[in-house]
Amino acid sequence: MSAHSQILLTSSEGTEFIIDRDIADKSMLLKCMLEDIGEIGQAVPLPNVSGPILTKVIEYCTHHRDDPNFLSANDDVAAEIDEWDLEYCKVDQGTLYELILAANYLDIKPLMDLTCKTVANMIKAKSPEEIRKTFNITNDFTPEEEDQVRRENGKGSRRLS
Amino acid sequence: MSTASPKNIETPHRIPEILEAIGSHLDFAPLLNCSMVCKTWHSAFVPLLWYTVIEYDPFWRKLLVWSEVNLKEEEKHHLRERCRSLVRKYGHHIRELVLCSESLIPMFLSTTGDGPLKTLATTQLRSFILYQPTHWIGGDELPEPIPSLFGLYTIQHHHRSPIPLLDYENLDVVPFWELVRDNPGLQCLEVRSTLPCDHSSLPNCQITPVRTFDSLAGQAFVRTTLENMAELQTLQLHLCYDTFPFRTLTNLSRITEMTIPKYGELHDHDLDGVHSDTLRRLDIKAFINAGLIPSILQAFPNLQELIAMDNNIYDGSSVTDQRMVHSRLETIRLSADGLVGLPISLPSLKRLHLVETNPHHLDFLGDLLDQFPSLEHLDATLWSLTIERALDVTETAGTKNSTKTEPALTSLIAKIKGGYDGMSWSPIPFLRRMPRLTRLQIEGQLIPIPQ
Repeated sequence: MSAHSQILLTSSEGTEFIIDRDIADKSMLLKCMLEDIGEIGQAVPLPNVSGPILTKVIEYCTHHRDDPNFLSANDDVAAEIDEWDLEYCKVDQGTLYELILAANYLDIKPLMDLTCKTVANMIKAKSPEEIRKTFNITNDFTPEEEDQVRRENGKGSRRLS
Repeated sequence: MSTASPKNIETPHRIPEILEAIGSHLDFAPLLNCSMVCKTWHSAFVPLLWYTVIEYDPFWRKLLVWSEVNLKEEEKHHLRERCRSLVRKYGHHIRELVLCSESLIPMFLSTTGDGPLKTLATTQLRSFILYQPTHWIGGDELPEPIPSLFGLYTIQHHHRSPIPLLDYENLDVVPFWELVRDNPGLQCLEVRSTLPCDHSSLPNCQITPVRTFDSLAGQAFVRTTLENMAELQTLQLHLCYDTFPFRTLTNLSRITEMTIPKYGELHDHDLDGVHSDTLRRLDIKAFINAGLIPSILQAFPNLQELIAMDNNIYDGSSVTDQRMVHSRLETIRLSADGLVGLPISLPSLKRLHLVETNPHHLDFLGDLLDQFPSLEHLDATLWSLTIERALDVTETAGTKNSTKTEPALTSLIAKIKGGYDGMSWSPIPFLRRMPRLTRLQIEGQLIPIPQ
């Protein structure tokens, strides 16, 4: 099979996408699948990924197409996010979530790292209450439990000083 | 676009796997916050906290391991594995090891098993910081001596019950001191176990201070251990002793800095036969009578800084009658004004910090500056009376006694007791008396000085 062979993907709503094999290989899921069953010429259904998100994912993989450090680049947790990636992540929260889910499902580690890092940056300087507000999470601790947790953590945070 | 996605899809912040991925990009403090958000987050982020408590700082070459909670066996295993991989990776570079968990210490130091320190001991570990080694009791695993070790420090939390580093109950020596004994080449040693620091926490432990000081065996062990540490340069003991082994100092030919506490009052006989030419800084945490200061200065002829923060009012009696000159001392921190009137001259004294002064001392400031004309910085708690008197004296003395050498004082920081009204006096007379003054700060307020 040549490096330029093409793969057909179908998003959750049935839209078809044609991508190059080397781009599909960025996803460990597709890579393993294609290696296992070979290219059968049929569309690969991706029921968990919507069309717009798949477009975004393909955009990412295409940009990093020739990146030699694609798999190892994000091993360094402290590394800065590069400019293109930063711009790429400037999307609404819903899209960011779906990107995380898609990256997780398709098993694209660098994209997973990038999106998670973006969420982590949103969390970093926030208090628990602010985090709840940002992510629309209901506080399901009872007051006693919350007190308990706070007490446990109070000890931990004193360590920091 | 989210309408296109399947409706039954879970939001990512409910999926532990994804939370874990997010958490791997967070430090300790944000992780703590995350664990308080809701139950799902709590269960997802708390395990991550175990991993962030192990950090390697490549700049300072410091490996830090902390955890407050007692670990379960399984968590200990994870931690050990993680430590081991870090030690494998950075072992040769690690210069400083910080252990902040009592349950980790035996695990880490174990040489019989497969403790990570066994690898470290052969490398270049220079300093070793232990949090609360007091709880490291009864282990029979002791690390081998670490030849490269330079400093050994302990950090004690005051809110914990102040169990001493010696198990006085059984007169056993806690492994920490054996670690000290086995590394006699140490240059810095800091032992914190302040006792009695907080009486409210005493009921938790059965040791009462009085009993504690009775243990001669424990003190003897500490004394012999210290006397053998010929390389020691900095010694900070925050343990309390009945009699501090001052005489130990004579054996420490390199000691330059020492902090020693004592329960009760320091007496003249404590200093009998004590002498050190190398000591530069002495911090005595005990009651001392100012009358003892000449004896202290005699024992340490090269002392540059003397700190004695407890009550020390000079009662007029002095051990030595003749006036002595100590030309090295530059800095003194005392609790009271006992210094004034002592038969000593300190021609190099530059900085003086007084926590408490005597309100009945007429013209305290004037007498102080007369006795120590080289003084440049004074930081003191004064009485408003002292200031008023100083102003009165200034008005008359300024004209009467103009031949006096003018004081070198450039900075005066004063806290005022006894009803200070900032508007009631002008700094001008002060300035006339201290022409070199460039900084005048009263009750935290900087007073502008006219040219």
